[in-house]
Amino acid sequence: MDKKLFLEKTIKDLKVELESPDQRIIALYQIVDKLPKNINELFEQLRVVTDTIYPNLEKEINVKDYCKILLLEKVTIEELKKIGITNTKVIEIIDSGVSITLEEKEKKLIKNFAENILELIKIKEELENQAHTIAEKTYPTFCSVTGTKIACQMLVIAGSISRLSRMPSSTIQLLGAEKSLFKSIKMGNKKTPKYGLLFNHSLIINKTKKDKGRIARFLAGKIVIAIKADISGKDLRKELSEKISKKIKE
Amino acid sequence: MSIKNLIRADGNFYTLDLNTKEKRLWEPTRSKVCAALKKGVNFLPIKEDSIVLYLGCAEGYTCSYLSDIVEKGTIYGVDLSPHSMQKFVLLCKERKNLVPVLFDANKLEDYDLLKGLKVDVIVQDVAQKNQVEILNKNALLFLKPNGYFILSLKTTAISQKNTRDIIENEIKKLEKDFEITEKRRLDPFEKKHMIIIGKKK
Repeated sequence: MDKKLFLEKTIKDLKVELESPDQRIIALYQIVDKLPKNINELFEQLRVVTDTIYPNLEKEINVKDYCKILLLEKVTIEELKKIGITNTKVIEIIDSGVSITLEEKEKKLIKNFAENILELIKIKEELENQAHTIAEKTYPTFCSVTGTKIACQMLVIAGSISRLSRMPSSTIQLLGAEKSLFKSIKMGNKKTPKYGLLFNHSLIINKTKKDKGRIARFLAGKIVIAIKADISGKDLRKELSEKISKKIKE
Repeated sequence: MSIKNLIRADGNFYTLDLNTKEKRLWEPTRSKVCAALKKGVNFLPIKEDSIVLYLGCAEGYTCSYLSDIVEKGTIYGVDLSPHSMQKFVLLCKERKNLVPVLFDANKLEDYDLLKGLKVDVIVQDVAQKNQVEILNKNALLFLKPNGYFILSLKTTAISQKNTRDIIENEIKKLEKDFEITEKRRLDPFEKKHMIIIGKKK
């Protein structure tokens, strides 16, 4: 047996599998899922210092705008409008006169910290965009039925597209709700979950409780068809969207 | 290259790296073969010139130590995961007697390059529901008439029921084709595991 032949073949097989688009999406999206936790932890530590300057400000605006306010040289109404903040309560808090004044050195350190958090948020958005563009290019039908975000999350849980394509529709309906499903089976409880990741789907989120289960079951069946169409290279976007809109009108 | 046999000192297991002339410690919590040696297995069938088929090599922690024992033979490492096989390929370039095979251990008859291969020892380390079946299948294909096998049985992969019943059941299946020479639980190092060594009838 020649060792060189084995080495060449395994390296060739390796690259085919690791460079496939579904593996790239999974690798990128695993970071996207975990980064928000780290950003929130850092933001809490930043607020230990800045809470005495702007008390209760974090209840009015999100993390991104909070960091942008910290970066300003002088906080006035005009400057705030330039960033795009028009909330009147923010101006009230800033003008209230409760805030303490810091030394120049401390202000610089806080600004550096806020800049780093803004950078992390930017990296997360870019990674998400990159994963979405790959997904929309390679699996157009699947993404149009579920929405790109849910499609990526399903890929991460399944592990690969070939594994996802072999799943029955009942498994796909409950993907992401494994914990509550096994809990209900173990306890002998009659209430099993009706939807997992599909809960955030734009067609399901604003329906009544009875309709949610029905539409989730119907959508899961269509998702199975969409994945299989993508793998075989067909484009069923029009047909599937017509069928779904027809069913929802009923 | 590093070539030197096992050295037994103060109860731990070492191999000697000739390049750096340093001893490498073999940890029983990371390798099931080492855990079996530490529990007092009398007879390990791997010799200087034997050819080994290792199913489920992963990143090659155990394989790197076995390759120290097998000076003149070769070890074929089989694994399915491409990510861990990437690290195994790096190890293969370092050591002359390791050969990588990226394939499913269930369907090894489809791999063209392995056709006509006969080995002395099969090490089965794939924790699947059909662990014994995988061993039987590969033993029919590749094992020499008087060849040995080493099976590390993970009972939780089969079912969550009583471990003793599962082990008895699996041993009954094995005794059709094999003659079992030794079996040992790996309790402090690996929970609910058993290592079984045997010979082809």
